[in-house]
Amino acid sequence: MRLLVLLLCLIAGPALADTPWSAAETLRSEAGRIERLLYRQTTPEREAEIATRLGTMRAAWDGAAAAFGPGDAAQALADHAAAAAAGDAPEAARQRQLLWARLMATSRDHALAALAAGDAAAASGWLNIRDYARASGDTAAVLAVKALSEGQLDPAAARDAVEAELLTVAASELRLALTRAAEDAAGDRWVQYAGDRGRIEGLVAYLRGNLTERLGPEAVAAIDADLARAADDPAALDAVAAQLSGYAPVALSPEEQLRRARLLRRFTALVWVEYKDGVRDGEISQPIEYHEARLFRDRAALILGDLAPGMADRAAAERLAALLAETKAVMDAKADGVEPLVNEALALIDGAFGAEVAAGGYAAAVDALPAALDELALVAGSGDWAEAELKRLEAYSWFDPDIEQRLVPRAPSMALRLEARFWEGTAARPGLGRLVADHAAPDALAAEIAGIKADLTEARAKIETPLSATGAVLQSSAILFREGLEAVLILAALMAALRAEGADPARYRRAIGGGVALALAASFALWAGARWLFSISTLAREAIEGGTALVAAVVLVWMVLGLNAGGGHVARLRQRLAAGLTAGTVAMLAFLVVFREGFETVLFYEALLVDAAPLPVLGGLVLGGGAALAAGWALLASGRRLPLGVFFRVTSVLLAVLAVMLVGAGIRGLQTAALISATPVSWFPDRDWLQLWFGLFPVAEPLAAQAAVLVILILPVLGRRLRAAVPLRG
Amino acid sequence: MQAIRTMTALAALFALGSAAQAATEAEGLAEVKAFTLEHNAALIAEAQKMQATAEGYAAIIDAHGGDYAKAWEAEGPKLATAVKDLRAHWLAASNQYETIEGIVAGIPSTAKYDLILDAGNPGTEAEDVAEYDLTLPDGTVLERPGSLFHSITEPLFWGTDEAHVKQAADLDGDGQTGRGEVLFDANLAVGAARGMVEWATALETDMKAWEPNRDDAFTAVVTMTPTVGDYFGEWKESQFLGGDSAAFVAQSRLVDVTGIMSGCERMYRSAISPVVAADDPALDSSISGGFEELLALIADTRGREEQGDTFSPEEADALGAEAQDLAERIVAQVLQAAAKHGVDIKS
Repeated sequence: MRLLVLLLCLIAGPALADTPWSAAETLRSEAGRIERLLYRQTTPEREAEIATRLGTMRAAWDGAAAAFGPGDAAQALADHAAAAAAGDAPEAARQRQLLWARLMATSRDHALAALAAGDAAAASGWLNIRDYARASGDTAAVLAVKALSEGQLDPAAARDAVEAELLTVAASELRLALTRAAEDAAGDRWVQYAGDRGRIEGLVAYLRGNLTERLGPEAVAAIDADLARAADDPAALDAVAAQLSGYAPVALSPEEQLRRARLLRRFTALVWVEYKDGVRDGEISQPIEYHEARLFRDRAALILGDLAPGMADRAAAERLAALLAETKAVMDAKADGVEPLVNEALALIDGAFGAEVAAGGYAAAVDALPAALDELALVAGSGDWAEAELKRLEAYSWFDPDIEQRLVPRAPSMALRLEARFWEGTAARPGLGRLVADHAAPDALAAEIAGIKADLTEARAKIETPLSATGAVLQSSAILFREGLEAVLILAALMAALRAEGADPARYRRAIGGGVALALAASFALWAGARWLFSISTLAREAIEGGTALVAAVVLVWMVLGLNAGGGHVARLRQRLAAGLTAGTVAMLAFLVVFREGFETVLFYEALLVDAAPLPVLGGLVLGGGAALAAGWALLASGRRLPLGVFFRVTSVLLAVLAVMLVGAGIRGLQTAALISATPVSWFPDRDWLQLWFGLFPVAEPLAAQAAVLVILILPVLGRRLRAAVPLRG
Repeated sequence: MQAIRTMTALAALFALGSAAQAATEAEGLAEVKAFTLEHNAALIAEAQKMQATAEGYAAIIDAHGGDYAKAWEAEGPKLATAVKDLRAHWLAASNQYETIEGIVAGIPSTAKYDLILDAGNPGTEAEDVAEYDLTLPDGTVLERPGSLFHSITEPLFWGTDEAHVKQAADLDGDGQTGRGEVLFDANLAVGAARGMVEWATALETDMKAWEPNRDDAFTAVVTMTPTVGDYFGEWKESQFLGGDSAAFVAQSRLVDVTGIMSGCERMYRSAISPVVAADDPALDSSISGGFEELLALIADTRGREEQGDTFSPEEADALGAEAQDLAERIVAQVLQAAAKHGVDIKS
C-alpha cells in the first residue's frame, strides 16, 4: 500500500511539482491512519506499522518542505511524530490536527499571493490543501479561480472571493470543533477531545489575523488563555465559544444570507422529519433516521453559526441557538418534545429572515422543481395517479411564479412554451397534465419530464446570464409595452369611438383615470398582501387573471355591440352617454383591463429588479409606458384625420379584435387555474407571436370561445346588411 | 492484519487498472451501467432461488394442511434445510444488491427500486416510503409494507418478525430452540420472494433503459457517499457492538456500507474522474485518494470485526466520525468539480 502511495507520488511528482498538494494529502491521510492504529492494543506489529507510516510522512514532507517554505508545519510534524512514536494517542490526535491546520494556513497564503499575481493555475493547486464547506456547499472560490483563468474576473476580486470563502469555512469548522469537543468531553472520549482541541487551536491560528481585526487583540489573548486551560478543563472551551458567538470573518452578501437562511430552514425542518421516524417510545426504532436527524441538527447549527453574527435581531439569534441546543439534548435522550422545538425554530427563522425564506424563491425553485418532477415519475410509476397529479401541481407551483417571473422579462416565448408543457402541451407533444390524466406509459412521461428539465436548464442559462444596463432598459420597456398596450388600445379605441359618436371624451377622462388608478392601487395592494399578509396560490392567481379578463371581455363585447347596433340597446346606450350614466361602466372597464395584467406586471418588475439596477429598470418603464401611450394617442389623433365613418369602423374592428383576445386570455387563464379542461388541436398554428400578442392558442376551448365572440360581434352587422339588402331586392 | 492490507492494496491496484480502461467519460458511464446490469442479473438469479426455496417450504406446510406443528413433526429436517437455504439465498441476493446499491439509489430514475428492495419504509412512516403493494399467494394485499429485504424478508427469515412466527423449531438440532429458531409464515415468504424477483426484474428493465449521463453520475456520488455515516451509526447500534437499540441485522452493516461506497467509488472512478481530471488533475487525485482512504477504513474495520476484534465505544465512535468526515470531504470536492463544469445536482 505504502509502496503504491510512493509510486503515485513518483508518477505524479514531475507533472505537479509546483504545488505540493500530493504531499499534503499523504500527510493528512497517514496521520489519520496512525490515529486509528493508536486506538488498538499495543503490539509489535502496530508499532512497526506506525513507524513505517511516520517514515512515509517524513519522506513526503522532505520532498515538499521547500515548496511550502518557512513556517511552523515542520515543528507540528516533529511533535506529531514524537507523540505517535511514544504511543500517546491524545497528543498524536491533537498534533495531527495542528499539522493539517498549519499546512492549510501556509497553502492559503501561497494561494492568495498567486491570485493577487493573476496566476490561476498555481492558486488552483494550492487550494487543494484546504477544508471545504460541509453544510453550505460553497463553491464561490473555485468559480472565482475559474473566472480568473478565463479572464472574466480581475485578480483582486478573485483573491477577495477566495479569501472570503476560506475564512468562512474555517470559522464554521471552528464552531463545529467546539461543539464536538463539548460532546466528546461529555462522552469521555478523550482521544477525540484532544483532536478537537488541536483542531480548535489550529483554526484559531489560521484565523488569527481576522480574529484580531474583528474581535480585538484582548479577545484573542483571552481565547489563547482559555485554550491553554482547556487541556485540563473542558469547560474552558465554553468561554472560547462565548467569545466567538458574535464572530463572523466576513459579512455575507444578501444573496448568500438568503441561501443560507433557506438551508437553515430546510435542515431544521428535516430534524423532526427524520427524528419522528427514528425514535419511538424512547428507543431508536430506525438508526439511520435517528443518525440523519442528528446530522441535520448539526448542519443547522453550522449554518446558524454563519448567519447569527449578521442577524439584526440578536434575541432571535440567541433563541435559535438555544433551541437547536435544546433539540440536541432531547434527541440525545431519545425523548419526546422535538417537534415543538423545531416548530418554534422554524417560526423564528421565518420571522428573522422574511417570508421569502419559507416561500422559496428562484433559488429554491430551481432546486425543488426537478426533484418534484422526479417524485412525479416515481409515484406515477407506482400507479398512484392521484398523487402524481398533486406532484405535477407542486412542480408547476415551483415554476410559476418563481421561475416564470424571472424568465418572462428575458424570454417570454420560452416561458409560454414551458408553461404549456406542465399542462396540456400540444397535440403533437402532450404535456404533463394530459399525460397524467391519461395515465400515460412511463416512457412518455419520462420523455416529457426530461424535456422539461432540458428546457429548464436552458431557461436557467438565460435567467442567470448577467444583465447589462441596456438589456435592463430593453426588458423593462418590453414588459410595460407588452402588458400595457392592450389596455391602452382598448381605452383609446373606446374614447375615439365615443367621440366619433359625438360624445365629449373629456367627460370620461376622470372615469378612466379613476379606474386606472384604482386598478394600479389594487394591483400593488394584492402584491403587498400576497407578500406579507396572506398566501395566494399560483392557481388562484391564474384564476383571478382569467376571470378578470373574461369579465372585461363581456363588458367590452357589450359596448362594441352597443356602438355598432343600429337600434336596440344602442339607443339606450346613447341616452345614457348623453345623461353621463356610462362613466361608471367606462371606469369599470378601465379598472378591469389594467387590473387584469397589473398584479402580474408588478411581479415581473419585482423579478427584474433582482437582476438589474433600479435606474435602467425605471428608464425602461418610462420608455415602455411612453410607447404604449403613444400608440393610444396615435389612435385617438387619427380620428381627427380619417373620415368619421371609416374611423368608426376601424375602431370597432380594433375593439372586436381586442375583445377576442381578452376572451382567449381569459379562458386560457381559467385552464391554467385547472378550472376548465384544455384540448390541444393540431390544425391551428402553434406560434409564439400569435399567443403572446393576439391570445390565439392552439387549444380548442379558447378558440371555440373566441369563435363564439366573433360570431356574436359579426352577426348583428350581417343582419343589418341583410335587412338593408332585402328591400332593394324586393 | 497483513491479509487486510494486501487486499486493500490489491483493490487499489484493481481500481487503477479499471480506471485506465475507462479512458473517457462515455466509456466510464457505459462501464458503470454494464457492471450494474451484471450484478442485477445475479440478484435476479438469487431471488429466483429464494422464490423456489420458499415455494418448496410452503408446499411442505400445505401438505400438512397448513399445520406448522404437524409439518415440523413430520418433515422437520426438510423444513430446517429450507430455512437455512432461504437465509443463504437472502444473504447472496442482498450482497449482490449492496454491490450496486450506491449506483441504483443515486440515479434518479432508478432510486425508487432502492426504496422497494432495500431501504424504504412502510407506509406508516412519513418519508422514504417504498411505494408498492405486495400481493401474497392467498390473495392478501399488503399495502406499502416497506422494503423487501429489510422490512419483510430479513426479520421473517431470521425469526424476529414475531407477528409471522408460526412455530418454535430446533433448526440446528442442538436440542434447544434459541433466538431465531422458528418456522415462519409460508404465505408471506412466498409472496415476498416473488416480489423480490418481480422488482429486481423491473429494476433491470429500467436500468437497461437508463441513458448514462453526467448529471446522474455526479448526483449519485453526492447523494450516496454521505450515507456512510448513517450505516456506521447503525453498525454501532447493532448486535455486533451490543448497541442499546438491539437493532437486528442478518449481517454487519459494514457489508452494506462496503457495497455502497464501492459503488460510489466505481461511479466516480469510471464516469466522473475523466471529467474532473481533464482540467484539474489535483482535485481528481484528491477525490480518488479520499475514496481509497474511506474504503480502506471500512475494509480494515470489517476485517477486524470478522476476526472477532472488539471495539471500545470511543473507537467505534471515532471510526464513524472519521468515515463521515472523509465522505463529507469527498462530496464537497465533487461539488467543486460540479460547479466548475455546470453540472446539475438533483436534490
